[in-house]
This record gives sequence, structure tokens and C-alpha cells, in this order.
Amino acid sequence: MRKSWLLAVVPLFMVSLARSGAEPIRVGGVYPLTGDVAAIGQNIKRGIDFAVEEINAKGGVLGRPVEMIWGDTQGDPKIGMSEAERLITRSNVSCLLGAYQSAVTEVVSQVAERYRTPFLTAISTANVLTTRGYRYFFRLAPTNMAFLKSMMQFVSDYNQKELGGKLKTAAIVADNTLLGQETKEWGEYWCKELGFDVINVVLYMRGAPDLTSEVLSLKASNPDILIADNYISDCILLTKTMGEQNFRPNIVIGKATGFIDPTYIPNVGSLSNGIATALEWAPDMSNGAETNAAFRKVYNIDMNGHSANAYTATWVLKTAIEQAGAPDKEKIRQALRDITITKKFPNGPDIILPYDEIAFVDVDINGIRHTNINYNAITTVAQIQNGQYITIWPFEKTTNKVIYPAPMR
Amino acid sequence: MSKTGKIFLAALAFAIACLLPMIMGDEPYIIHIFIMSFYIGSISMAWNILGGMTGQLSLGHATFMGLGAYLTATLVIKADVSPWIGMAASFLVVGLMAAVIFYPCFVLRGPYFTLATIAFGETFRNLLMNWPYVGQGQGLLMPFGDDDFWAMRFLSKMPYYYMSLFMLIGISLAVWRLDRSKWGYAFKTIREDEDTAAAIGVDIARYKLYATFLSAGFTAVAGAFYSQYLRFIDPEIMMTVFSVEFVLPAIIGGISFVAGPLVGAILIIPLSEFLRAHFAGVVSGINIIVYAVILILVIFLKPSGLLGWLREWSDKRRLTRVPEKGGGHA
Repeated sequence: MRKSWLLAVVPLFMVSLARSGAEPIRVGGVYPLTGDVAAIGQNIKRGIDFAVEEINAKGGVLGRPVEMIWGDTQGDPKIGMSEAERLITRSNVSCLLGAYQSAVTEVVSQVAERYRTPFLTAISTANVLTTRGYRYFFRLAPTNMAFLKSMMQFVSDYNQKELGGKLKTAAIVADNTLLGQETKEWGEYWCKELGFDVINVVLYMRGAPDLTSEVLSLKASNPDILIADNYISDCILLTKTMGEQNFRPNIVIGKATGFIDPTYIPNVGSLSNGIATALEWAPDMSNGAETNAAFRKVYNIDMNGHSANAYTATWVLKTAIEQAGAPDKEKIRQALRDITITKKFPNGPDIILPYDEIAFVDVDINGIRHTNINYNAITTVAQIQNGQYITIWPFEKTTNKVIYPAPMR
Repeated sequence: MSKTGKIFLAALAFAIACLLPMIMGDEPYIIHIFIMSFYIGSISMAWNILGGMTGQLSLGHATFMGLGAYLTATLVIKADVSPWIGMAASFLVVGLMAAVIFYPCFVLRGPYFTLATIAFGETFRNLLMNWPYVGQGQGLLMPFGDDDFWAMRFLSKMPYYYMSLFMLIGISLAVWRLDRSKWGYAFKTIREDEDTAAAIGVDIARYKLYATFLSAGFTAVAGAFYSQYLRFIDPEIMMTVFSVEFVLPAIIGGISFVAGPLVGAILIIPLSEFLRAHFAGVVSGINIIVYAVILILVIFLKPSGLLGWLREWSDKRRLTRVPEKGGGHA
């Protein structure tokens, strides 16, 4: 009895300690909070806010609360630059979390480098970002290469195990931005490695008002597998147009992005049924069930890959600041270089992502040097089944069944 | 305002602009806002040659800017040519390219010309997006290194501040001169009435060609600056929304005034920064709503822009003023 009384009071005391005297440790967040991908930006923000609340409820970092200072990039690189500079030079943040679109992350990582401010991205997956040799830029998210590898590995595993290798051809549809072009590059690479023929590649303008001719081209080539990577508004349009044109490949596999946006399923309804997507996190994974339950209570929505990654990134920074011993930029950078988190954050939650170890290393991928990447990061694959993301791969981690072929109705 | 008054005001503004960074000290964020105002002001000023003076409303200026940026960046990366030369090359090459490509479009009037400029922009964006030599959608990143004047590469923001300031002043002086030249009068005659202009012997196609060349050329110079300042460009910088961003200062300041884009840029860029810095973190999107409402109000209530409003106000005051001793002036 007495113990439980103590258990209740000690955190309260720590909270009040953290809230009262101590100067907060400031962390900057630069995300597109408005504009055409605002829904994603807000979702990322929820993941961070939730982590910050947990951290502060447990007494903050080094006895000081964490305060997030937000910058809105509006998805424009020059606004990203301006917001990053504002946060670093005016708000005196110790480190930055950010950006969503890789072009913005590219510019912000330069700013961070110039001001020697540690900058951790939870979301940006473009391969090129970590090939610049920057010292202050760290990536938690899996690279595009890792996404495509996980996706095609799933298709290959399923093909071998259940279909006797009858899937042979693939088509790729993506927008022609940086992200889409990398999806094409690595999609082709992994298809070749795993023995699939890429018979059609359709790259369209992002934000296209109509995708009918693109879908008809894909339909005409009649692939067994469709690999898709689209921002949310294009993703909705693509799915609807595929429904209208009755184009229903046996396997549709998306590269997260739009397919895991919380507005995706509500907008396309049953057309999404059977579509598979790479996913950093899904509500039915055993990892993070408790965290998600608490998250759901606050925001009335499940976590997704973006919010789970953002949540994890916030805890990574918290741990780094703690190990640095002070909110000093140089020390935080060194701490991030040295950090290894296995299974569980010290004095924090378990790692909720589908891998067990977080560390930032330098590695060569396909002959190109990457610095400060979380090389252990992999994704799972989930399939949308009746409006729910159901994890279906890796097979050894789940018992859920794959619906084949994808009904998409 | 009298002529000497105007010159005095301009000299004062120039002196303040030159001394500002020294007075303010190390404030990179504020300096950045000024750089952005000067940069957008420069393009808006250049846009005004075609849009305001000649009356050909273009929504393709983000493309001219992007082409200048791409040309300069490509020269730097592929041929190790100094961006200073790239800037000059941008002026000539992009100016000529725009003039030649738009030549057949000069018969189009009003919204049809505007549509052609949008199509022009989308075409080039698609081209660069799919051209491996210039990095496709991955864009171009400028090489790293120590400060180097010849390579237009500086760690501090000061050099960029002065570069953008002198770019703005240079373009403004050119436009100011142009406004009083034979070309300027021809441009304005075309704006007022193309048929009349043709009837009195203005060679319409030729003067539209000149206006396009100058407008696109100056915009490309600003684009070259952008590529060296942000040090990363991708084809998305050519989106039509950015063209709108360049047109707004001219409309807010007063499209028919030489100084209109300048006044507009110096007011609305810091305004949007201020709104974002103070409100975006509180309720996201509120800054954009407030900004949009201000713009709508200005455009709705004063289509002639802030300078138009100022002129009306001073005209009214002059006309209603009781003549002073010794007789007023006309």
C-alpha cells in the first residue's frame, strides 16, 4: 500500500520539479504543418508530442523538461532553410528533428551542418541524403533501398512459398520526384536480384490532376506485381483511377508514403482492400501495443509508421542528450555516434519498430558511402484487409494470412 | 513628392540597407529574411517589365528562374565555370530562349498568353525532371568547400546579403531607366491598347520580344543567385506556385509603378515570415489564412496597389490644399 502511494507521488514530484525551476531543453521540429502534405506533417507531430509528454512525465532529460519548438516548412526548401535558421539561431534549440520531403531535408541538413547542430530525420528515406558525408545529420528511417528490398523480399518469399514461382513480371508506378526516381532505381535493382522482369515503368508529375492514361498504360502491360510509391493525394487518385479502369493486378505493393497516410483508407474505402505496403509499424504488431493504446487514448487514432518513427526518434534524441550529459550540440553529436539502443530505451519504452537495435554507422551500399545511418532499420509488410493494416511479413513474425489475389473492391 | 525628395529617399534607403547588417550584427535569420525579400523583389521587378509595363501577365517566371538556376549550377558542377560567369550566361541564354520560344505566342492576348506561359513552365519542369544529365528529380547539389569568392561560396550570410541587395538595385535601376526610354513607352503603349499601338507604328512583336528578353533574363540572374545561396536545386523550384509568389509583390505594391514590386516584396515577405514564426506553432495554417486575407483585402480594396493608394492620397491632398502665400503650384 505504502509502496503504491510512493509510486504515485514520486513521478508527480519529478514532474513538478521538471516543470517548475529547470530551464527546458529545446528541440526543434521542422515539418510541413500546412500545405498539400499537412496531414502527414501533423501526424508526425503527434508522434513527437506524445513522446515529449511521456519524457516530461518521467522527469524530463537531465532533470529538465523537453520543449518542442515547431517550424513549418510548407514543403518549400527555402522556407525549410528559413525555419531551421530561426530555430537554431533565435530559439537556440540543441538539436533538430525533421523534415518530410527529401528536398527540404537536403537543405535543412546543410543548415544544420553550417551551425553544427545535430539533425535527426525520422522520416526522410531518399538514399542520397546520407551520401554527402555530413557530420551532424543522422537518419533513423530505413533508406529507400531498404524499403524496396523489404517489399520485394516479401513478394519473392510469398511467390516461392505459396505460388510456386508463378509471379514473373512487375511494373513500377511513382511520381518523378527524387523519391519516385529512387523507387524506380531500387525497384529495378531488387527485381533483377530476385528474378522478376520489370515490364513497365510509369513516372508521372506529382500532383497530376488525372492519371487515366498512366493507369491504362499499366493495364496494357498487365503485370503480375505493381510496385507503387505515391504521395497521398496522388495515391488516392491512383487507387480510384485503377478502380474505375478495372485494373487489379494480383499483387499491389506500395512503398509506405501515401499508402499509410491516415486519410488514405477513409478516402478510397474498399478499393484499398488487398493492397500491400511496406510499413515501419502497424497496430497489430506485438511491439508497441501498449504505447499505441496510450497514444490512441490521447489522439483517438492509431499510430502509423510515421508517428511511430517520429516517436522513436524523439526517444533517441532524449537518450542521446542524457548520455551527452548536457544539451551541448557537439556532445549530442558524439553521443548519437556512440549510441546503441538494444530492445529498450534506458528508463523508457521498448523499441516499437520491427527491429531490436538502433545505432548510427557508416556503411557502403552498392558502392556508395553512407554516413550516420541506422543500418539495422528494416520494414515489415502489411496488407490492407477490410480497412485494417494487417502485418503479413516477415512470415516468421506473424501468423496472419495474405489475401491473394488482391480483390481491390 | 518632388524629384529631389525622391532621390533623397532612395539614397537614404540605400544607406540603411548597406549598413543594416553591421548595425544588427550576427542575426542570420533576420538577414535571411532580407535576402529572401531582395531575391523575390528582384524577380518581381523583372516580372513587372513583362507583366506590369507591357501588360503580358506571365505565370512562367518560376521557370525562367529555374532555368537560370539550372544553367549556373550545371556550369559549376560539370564544367567548373564560376557562378559569376554563369549569372551572365543565364541572362543571355535564358533571355534569348524565352524570347525565341515565346515569339509565336505574342499573338495571344490576355489569359491565353498566361496559359501559354504556364504550359511553357510545366514543359521545362518535366524536361529537367527526366533528364539524367542534370540529375532528374534528384536535383543538383553545389560542391562543398571553403569560402571562395570566385566560386560564390560563403559560410557567412553577409556576402549573399550584399549580392542580393546589389542585384535588386541593379535590376531596379535598369527598370527605372527603361521606364523613361523609347522602349518603355512602346511597352506601355502596347499594354494600354495593342491595336492603337500597331496603328501608330509600334512594332508589337519586336517590343514584346525585347520585354520578354529583359524580363526573363533578369529573372534568370536571380535564379542563378538562388542556386548558389540555397546550394541545392531540384525541378520543383519551377512549380507554378512559385510564379505566383513572384507576381504577388508587384500586385500588392502596385503593378503600374516602377517601385511597386520593391515596396510589395519588402512588405509582404517579412509579413509572411512574421506570421509563420509567431502563429504557425500555435494553430498551424492560421498564418496562411491571415496572410491570404491581407492579400485579398489589398487586391480587393486597392487594385492599383499600395503605391496607387499612396498616389491617390497625395493627389487628393495636393488638390484640396489651400494655395500658400505667393501662389501654390500647379
